[in-house]
Amino acid sequence: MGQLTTATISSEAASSQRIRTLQRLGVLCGIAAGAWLGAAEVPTKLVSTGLSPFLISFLMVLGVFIGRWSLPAVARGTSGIRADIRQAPHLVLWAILAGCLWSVANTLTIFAIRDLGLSIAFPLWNTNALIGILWGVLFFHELKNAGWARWMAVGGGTALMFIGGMMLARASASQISSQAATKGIIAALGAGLLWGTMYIPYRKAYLSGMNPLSFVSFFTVGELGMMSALAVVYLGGFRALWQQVAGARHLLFWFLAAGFVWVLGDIFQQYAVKYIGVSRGIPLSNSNQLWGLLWGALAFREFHGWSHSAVSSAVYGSLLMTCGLAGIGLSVAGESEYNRWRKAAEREQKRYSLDADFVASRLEGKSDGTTHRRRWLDWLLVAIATAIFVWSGLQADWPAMDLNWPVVYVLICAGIGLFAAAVIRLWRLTRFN
Amino acid sequence: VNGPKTTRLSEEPPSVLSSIISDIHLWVPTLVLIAGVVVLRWVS
Repeated sequence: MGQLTTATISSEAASSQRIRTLQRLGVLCGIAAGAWLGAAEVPTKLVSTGLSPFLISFLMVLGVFIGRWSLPAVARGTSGIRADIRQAPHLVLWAILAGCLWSVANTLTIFAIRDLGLSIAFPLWNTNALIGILWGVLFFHELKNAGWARWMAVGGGTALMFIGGMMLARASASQISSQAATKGIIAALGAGLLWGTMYIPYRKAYLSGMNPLSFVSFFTVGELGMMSALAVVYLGGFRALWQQVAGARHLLFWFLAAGFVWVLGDIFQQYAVKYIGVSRGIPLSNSNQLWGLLWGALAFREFHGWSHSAVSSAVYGSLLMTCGLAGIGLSVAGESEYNRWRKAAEREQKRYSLDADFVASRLEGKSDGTTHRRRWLDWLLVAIATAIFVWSGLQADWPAMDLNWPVVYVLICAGIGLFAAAVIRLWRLTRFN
Repeated sequence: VNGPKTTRLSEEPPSVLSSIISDIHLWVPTLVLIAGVVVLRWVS
């Protein structure tokens, strides 16, 4: 009897230890997501174009589609994706719905940038974190039983990040002439609402045991389908779309690259949502604004000619965002809050008659022990993706820009460092589950 | 009075389709998507 009690206590201790480890992993993924989502702006910064927002969004989504099928094929293989979908086929619907939400939101952001400028539009659509927290609390029991300290850390951290974001916006806005057009503000807030709501399908999928890499493979079907429909309707038909794509062939590489880099960030964001929930994962990955500023101000020398007060606003705004990041990153969910997550997972398991072991083990990032070998289809997907990038790269115009190369190297090294740290931890702890 | 009980049907779990249709996690994102398409039409 004594042995049984000791075994139970030791098992509970191991489980709490596992939860804490996974939460730290989620925080790391959220920070890496911010770095890579911020870097995704870089390729589009390199090309100054007068292209239609629908065309830009469509070309980026093409890059996203390539990334979302080739990266999971490398990491887990398509057989792993098939095995996941067999466990919870209903989630394909939510993946496609989330993809549609993403496409409409992304197109709205391009209109918002056109009307307001990136610096003002960015913090406006980053309100998606507040929407995400609202849905997380309402639908998935996040922050329930969390205690006032964690509520304060997450709420205060999000508020600090929001205020910091507004300061960054003010700093940048004073340097460019922009008119706060009503349409631009509505477009940016609309994008925030859509992106914040997109996390409902994300969280639902991960509480049901779905692997993030499997989920994004179907997510992108909705993404490309919706974006193609929007592009065809708004650009005046298939022929007009094709003509515009052909006309932008020399810029295609940069948009594909932006989409691909964005996918890297988004995959980390998916793992952050899985392991620390929407309410913490999204504010952390919204630090992409900070990275965007670092790239713009330092690597692209946008600080040159800025007034002293504008530079101060940018520095203080960045510090506030960093404090907010730290607050959220340190407020990991405790055992009682985690039990509420388990209850939300149980609800999904019962509602859709899912395999209870599958849901429970995946919630803790454990694999089912099956090894999925790469097949010819996986290598074919990787070969096609590589060929498209090489082909578009050969035709790309290299823009003449005066970059601050030492800073570029530092930022690239920081991004690669975070990428490597997150990938290694994900592999060691979860085998990408 | 002693015949077979007829409560079995009501104890059966709902089908996946009816679970999907009655799931609020489906309707909230769907309504937001429709609103987003309307906003996009207005701003474009």
